[in-house]
Amino acid sequence: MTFPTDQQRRVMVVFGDNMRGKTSLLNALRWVMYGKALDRLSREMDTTRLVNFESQREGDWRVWVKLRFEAGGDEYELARIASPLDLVSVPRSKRDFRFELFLRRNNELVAGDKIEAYINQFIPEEVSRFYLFDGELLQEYETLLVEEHAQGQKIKEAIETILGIPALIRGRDELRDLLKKAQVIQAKESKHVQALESQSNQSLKLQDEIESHERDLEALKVQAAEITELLSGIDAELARSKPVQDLHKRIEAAREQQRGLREQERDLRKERLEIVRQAWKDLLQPRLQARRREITGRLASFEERIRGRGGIEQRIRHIRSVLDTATCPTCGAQIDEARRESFGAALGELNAQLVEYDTSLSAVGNLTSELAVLNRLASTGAGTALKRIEKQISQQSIQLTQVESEIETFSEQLRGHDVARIAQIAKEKDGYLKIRGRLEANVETLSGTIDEKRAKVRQLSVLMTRNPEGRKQRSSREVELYSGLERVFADSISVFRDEVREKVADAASVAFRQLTTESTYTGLKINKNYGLAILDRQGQEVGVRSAGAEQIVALSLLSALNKTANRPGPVVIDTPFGRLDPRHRVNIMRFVPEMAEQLVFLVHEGEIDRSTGLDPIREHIGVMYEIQRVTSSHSTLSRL
Amino acid sequence: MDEPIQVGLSKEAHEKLLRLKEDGHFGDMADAYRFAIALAIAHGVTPDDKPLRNGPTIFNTGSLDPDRSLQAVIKALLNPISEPVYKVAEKLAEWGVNELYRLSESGVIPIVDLIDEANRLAMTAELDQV
Repeated sequence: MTFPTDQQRRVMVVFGDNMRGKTSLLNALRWVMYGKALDRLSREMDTTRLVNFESQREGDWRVWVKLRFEAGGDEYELARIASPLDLVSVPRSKRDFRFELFLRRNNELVAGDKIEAYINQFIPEEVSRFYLFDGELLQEYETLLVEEHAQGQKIKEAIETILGIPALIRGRDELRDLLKKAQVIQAKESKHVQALESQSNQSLKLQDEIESHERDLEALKVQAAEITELLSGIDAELARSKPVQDLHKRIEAAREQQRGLREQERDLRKERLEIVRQAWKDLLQPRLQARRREITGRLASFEERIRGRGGIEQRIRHIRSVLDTATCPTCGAQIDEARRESFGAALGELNAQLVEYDTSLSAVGNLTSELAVLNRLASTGAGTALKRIEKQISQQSIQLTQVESEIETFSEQLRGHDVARIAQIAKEKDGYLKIRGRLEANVETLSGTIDEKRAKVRQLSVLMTRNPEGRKQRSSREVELYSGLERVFADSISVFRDEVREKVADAASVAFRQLTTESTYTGLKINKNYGLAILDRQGQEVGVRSAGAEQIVALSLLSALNKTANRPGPVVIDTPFGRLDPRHRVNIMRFVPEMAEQLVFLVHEGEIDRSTGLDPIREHIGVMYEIQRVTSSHSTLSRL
Repeated sequence: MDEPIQVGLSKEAHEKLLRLKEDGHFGDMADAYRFAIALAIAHGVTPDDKPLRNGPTIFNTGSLDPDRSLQAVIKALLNPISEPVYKVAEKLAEWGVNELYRLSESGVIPIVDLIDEANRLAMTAELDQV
């Protein structure tokens, strides 16, 4: 496979459907450089999985990768070979292999113990993720945003290596060492000057103490580094188990939802029972209504009749008066016996009617009180309330079934994963973080003590230098010189670090603005670990970012590192557009020529249309390959 | 006519009433008992003269019908002459509990449907009278 070297056409595109071996190409590069190939969960793949299937069947278990490249004007050839140990016919694991690594520089073999140092000079392993970039493993870039993250700390150191900061640190350390030696000589020589004897003794004593403190400090730093290493392993394990953790979180969330829904359902059922408690009244309403109507009708008829009582009483009074006087009240004529008899009968009839009215009155009283009782038994609206509540219960029940089925599906997916182990290492991480915190505090205190003592030694040195006798000593002049130089280097480190970080942030922001399609995102803010947060128009950090935004941020950092690094490298991107929408894809295409000196895209046709999708970078493409399927375990690479 | 101070059901109906409560159809047995009486009235059940085969007495009428509204309803709608109102209530409850238990065997007692059905029955009864 030949990579493009023409500066105008420096992009290479490799097409291949899923499962054809695009990631194997990325892994081949990773393996030849660092002896590691990673699976989709960032786990190291066993060597047995790297061997060609067909060769395996033929009993050939060797695997090798050879890479030719140019760096800093020199030609290199790097080769890594894994072959089964003697007497191992079918290797079972990495342990059954022998590994060999060769590096030729301008056709001369580089000593084996220096090869890794060379490789780390090209691209340190910790930052290789930015050059061998897997679009599917984005969560790893988030670790940079967490300042206390051990893995993030390692990546930061690696980034600073490619940015050239360690050169200054080494310079300062070497000058400090020279200064120390000169101060010891100065103190020893000043012992013979009478006026400086006391200062000399003090200085020597302080320097002994500093040496002892430095040994302690070194031991503390080693312990802290060991803890950091452990934390790095834990972080890596936690990162690998992120899908499992996410699944576990989703189960927990679903269980919480399930509890909530059950509680709501319980409340609704309780409410339903309260409604049912009164529902008997609603069941009777139609009959009660009929009865109420009947009573009301009867009361109306009674009232009608009762209204006629006054007239009857008047007629009774009138007839009584006629019967008592036996004369006509109108004409005064005598009433005969026969007429009086008929008046008597009429009076009897009217009296009977009066008795009947009295009976009606008592019936009215009874009916009125019955009606009052029945009116108290009004409808409770149970029918409507129950319909509403039953609908709610039914909806709750559907939701509950969905959540339960989700829990079942997630639990099924979680089967076989050791959730307890994840919880355990997460706890262990907390413990180690505390220990590291304590160690770092001790380092700080001790460093402070050393700095104080160094300052005293410096003061004593100045006194010794100012003394006319002391000034004559060569060591005094050396102290003066090294002291000045050490200060210059020490001050430069933080200045340079800040400048470089700012440069990275600026370059990343420029790239980001070109890549993002979100107009409210105005740029990126860098943290001490080179983690980048998105800023909105108000300059506030955007809290949640999508997988697409994550990819854009990672690509921006990648581009910025390439621009700021003292030695830019080639970039290989697997599935570069996997999580991006078409507009972001076009933005990336437009940006590609500025991204790196040499760029390799490993893409599948679902990501990009081969005929038109590459148009924005067509003029920059130097070479295109296609991985074609022969069988499920055999692909061929052909140049297009 | 003296009203009884306690009411009950046959042994079988009592067990059914207990199940209605335990299966969560009603909050307590008194709720189911009252509903059973109302259901029987709504269905136009006419209590016969045969005395109820008594099981355990279950409720004190004071707690079952504290404001005597059940008593008023039975009096108003059935006007029992030959026996006390609460005796009639027991017979109605016996019928209603059996019916509710039968309905509960499908898993749910369709209270809303029963209320709708009571409306239909009352309307039919009125039409018959017309």
